[in-house]
Amino acid sequence: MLPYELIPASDQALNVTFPNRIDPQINLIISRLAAKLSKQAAITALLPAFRTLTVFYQPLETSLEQIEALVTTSLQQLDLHKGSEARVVHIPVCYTAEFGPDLEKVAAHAKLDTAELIKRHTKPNYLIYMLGFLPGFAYLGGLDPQIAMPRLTSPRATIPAGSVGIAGEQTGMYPVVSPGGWQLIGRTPIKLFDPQRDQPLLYQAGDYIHFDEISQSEFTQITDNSAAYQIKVTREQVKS
Amino acid sequence: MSITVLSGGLLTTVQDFGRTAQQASGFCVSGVMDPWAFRLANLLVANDPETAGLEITSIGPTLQFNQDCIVALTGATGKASLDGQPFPFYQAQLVSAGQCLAIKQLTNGVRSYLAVAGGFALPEVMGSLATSTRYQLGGFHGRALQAGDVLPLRQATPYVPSYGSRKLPVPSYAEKQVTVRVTPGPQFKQFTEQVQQEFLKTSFTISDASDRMGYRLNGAKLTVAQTGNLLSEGTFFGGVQIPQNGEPIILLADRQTTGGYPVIAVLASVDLPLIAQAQPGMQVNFKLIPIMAAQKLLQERQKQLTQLTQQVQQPSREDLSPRLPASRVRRLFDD
Repeated sequence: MLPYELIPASDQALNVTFPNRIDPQINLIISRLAAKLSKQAAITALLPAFRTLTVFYQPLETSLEQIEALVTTSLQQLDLHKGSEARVVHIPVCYTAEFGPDLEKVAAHAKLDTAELIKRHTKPNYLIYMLGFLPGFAYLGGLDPQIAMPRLTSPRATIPAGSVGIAGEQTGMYPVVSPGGWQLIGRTPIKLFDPQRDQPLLYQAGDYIHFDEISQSEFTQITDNSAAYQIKVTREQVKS
Repeated sequence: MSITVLSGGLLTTVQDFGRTAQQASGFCVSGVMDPWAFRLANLLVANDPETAGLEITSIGPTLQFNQDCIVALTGATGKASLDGQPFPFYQAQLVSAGQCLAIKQLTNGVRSYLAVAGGFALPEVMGSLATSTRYQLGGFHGRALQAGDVLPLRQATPYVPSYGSRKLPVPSYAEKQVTVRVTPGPQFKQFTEQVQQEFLKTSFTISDASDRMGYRLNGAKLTVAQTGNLLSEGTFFGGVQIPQNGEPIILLADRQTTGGYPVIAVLASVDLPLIAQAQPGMQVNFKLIPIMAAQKLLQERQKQLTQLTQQVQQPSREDLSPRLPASRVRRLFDD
């Protein structure tokens, strides 16, 4: 187990805080701990981030000591080996100049042709460290450093929902329309965030994202039959 | 079974306690800014505490009722009238079909809550009726009310026991200065003692750049804690973060779920209403208390709620007296 601190964060929340770094091992502990604590009635909400798990509780029904004891025991009992197969959510992406206005530029920056850039972007399973910033915005780790590129010097006022981009050593998707400075290389036709769905999001922190390349005609097909589209989810042994 | 909006007011939205369970998805909580006043409004009309109501900001809406309704207004007070007659705050009132409730300028506080017995017949989005104007969802079409909107109601005139005597004392909100209690934030210890003291001694001013997302404060530029590059972590309702420019921001109902600025303090839950009812230009001072003390205050607040609930549910002697209706009947025959 990595070192951690229990920091009372408000009169209704406790932070379980790990060392200040982006680390797949920390992510695994936080995801497993959140899953374990989610079954506890005394806990009102859980908010996982890069290296913290914020545990919200109702102080009228339980006490800080009880929550601290619960967290400590749960951490001791945590099995970090069992079922190490991860959930990989496959996101279809169309990489064209229309959907990815910065595609050529990012390829040139990486000294690659666009085909090779796409190949490298669709190779890894990207770990979702946390969700934040926008509804369903996933902070992903695992981008090939060679295709990293700084963000735009002047952000765009509007980025369409579904856009896929690169910013520094991060890659990510815009689940909703938003302003933003990411280098856009493609777009997914699927609704990443849909409040009307039973599950508004298709993934959670601790899952992996894999980008699958699709053609323009497949993009149109999926867009036209979005209700029928079944998202592909696989279970894979992912090295961490 | 509806209410027609004749004018929307400055910012009138449908709110409840928000989407606390959706924070892990990166979706903002939203919900009411003043949970206490909202709770009392629902108490007055005998609603479940979670029933969504209207949050009214500074200048209220004008509403035409298309059916008989029992309603109550709490939180900030000011001028309100029903068909031209003064309309009381903090009292359950029967509004008859066709009558018009006009809520004008709020003078004591900033946010009022209108509860309607039975609540609104609006669809839940991710488990809540709270309006998120930023993502245009929840509440009434994800936006503030406008003239012409028709708010559907869930029930035709629900029964509210002894509604004529359901009333509560009207609070007085601060006009110029407010002191709010805070507990140490997750990064409190990373600020130097000198900065901690400066934070607690400064009278800050609420800037004009303040809204449901957060209140920006002026008054002192605090030296940001040496945290290295702090990775984003969960935020709190009432969290006081210190960004690079050193001027505190109090995060409120529409805050982002995660943030990367160090949080020096978090408002005690019982004092959230004081900030929710404070407006730009007012002075804010912070008083540090231990977390245990803040939790004790919450328990006391809960006891107070139990007392108020009993008070509202037990009709007063006067209202029970059979002589009152009898005297009214007698008057009919006097002439």
